[in-house]
Amino acid sequence: MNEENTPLNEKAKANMQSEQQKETLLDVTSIPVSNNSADEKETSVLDEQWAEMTQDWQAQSVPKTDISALLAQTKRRTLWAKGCLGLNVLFTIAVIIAFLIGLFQGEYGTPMNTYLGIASIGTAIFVYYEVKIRLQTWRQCCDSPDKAIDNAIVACESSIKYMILNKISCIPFAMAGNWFIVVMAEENEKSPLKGLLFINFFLIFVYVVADKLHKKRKKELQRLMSIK
Amino acid sequence: MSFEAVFIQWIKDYEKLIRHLIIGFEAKPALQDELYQDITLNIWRALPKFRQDASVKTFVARIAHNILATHVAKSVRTIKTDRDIDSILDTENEKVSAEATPYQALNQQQRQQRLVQAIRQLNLEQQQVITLSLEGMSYQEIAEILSITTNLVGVRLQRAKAALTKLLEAL
Repeated sequence: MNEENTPLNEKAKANMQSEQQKETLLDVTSIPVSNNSADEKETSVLDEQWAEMTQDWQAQSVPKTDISALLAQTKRRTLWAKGCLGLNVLFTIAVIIAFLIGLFQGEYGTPMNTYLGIASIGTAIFVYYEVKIRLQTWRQCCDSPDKAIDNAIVACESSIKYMILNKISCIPFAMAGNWFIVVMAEENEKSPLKGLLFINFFLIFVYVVADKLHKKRKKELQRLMSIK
Repeated sequence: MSFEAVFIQWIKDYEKLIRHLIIGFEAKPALQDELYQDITLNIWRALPKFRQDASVKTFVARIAHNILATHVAKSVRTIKTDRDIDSILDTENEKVSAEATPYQALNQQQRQQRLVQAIRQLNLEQQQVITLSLEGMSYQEIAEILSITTNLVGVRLQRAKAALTKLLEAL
């Protein structure tokens, strides 16, 4: 793994030397003759200082990593990210299948079928955005660093769209959810109050979290755009 | 060799490089650890895409720079100024002789702290070339990592060095 003596590095060193020679030549031709010795002295001080800086930089102590623990954690994080995405996709497929069964076999009744229909459309849209954001993030890691900001902007914009979608979807979900609970309560001759309170508090919570993340991403996007 | 064995070997070989690069971009130790974990996670994910003809060092540094560039761009700069150290350094500066630069007159730990502080105040492009150059990388390696020409590396490095010198004098 030690690459210090590879032909690539030898070539690179040679290139670097020639680059440095070019720079020195440029410097010499661009400076006035009267200031030659002063500038040479300054350059030599800078070179000396640079050598010392390099030495200092490389001598910095760093904490030692427990590589086995790091590997286990890395695997866990990868598994979690993929697992969550996989579960979301499975859940969406399950909702769609349940809706189709309800629709063609007519087992669940109109309120449940309507609710499953709305839910299957909603979750499909959410999963589409989630897959898009995840793939964007995973693709970004080994792209070239000059594209890092552009990639981050795209990921940030996707994330903002996802948050807006989250916020907007609260309205149809609130309407469908409230209607579903009222109809189901009427059918079962029970009070809809508990169900209504639960669904509305849940949707308010989702809205508040999505709004907070939306504002955070907007700030991040502004910063990214300002340095682009 | 399995992916696991390769990953362990890479981390062993380039842990110091990754940590040094992070120090140049982020001051908070908690965020430094988070960034280290993010970088290693991305190395793990990108490992299957690694082509044997490329250099491992540049591959690892490229991933680290991707994460760090995005981090710097997203977050407000977190430049930690240690008042106690600064006051000690100010007293030390008064004793600096006429021949030595203020940087050279400090002891190694103080110089390291000053250097890191100054690097964190550079702009992103300058931070990138300076940290890689301080790691002893050639122009060609830096060019490969940042996907720019060697000439541009030279220009950016010259500007970065000048800016760094000014910052070190001002600190």
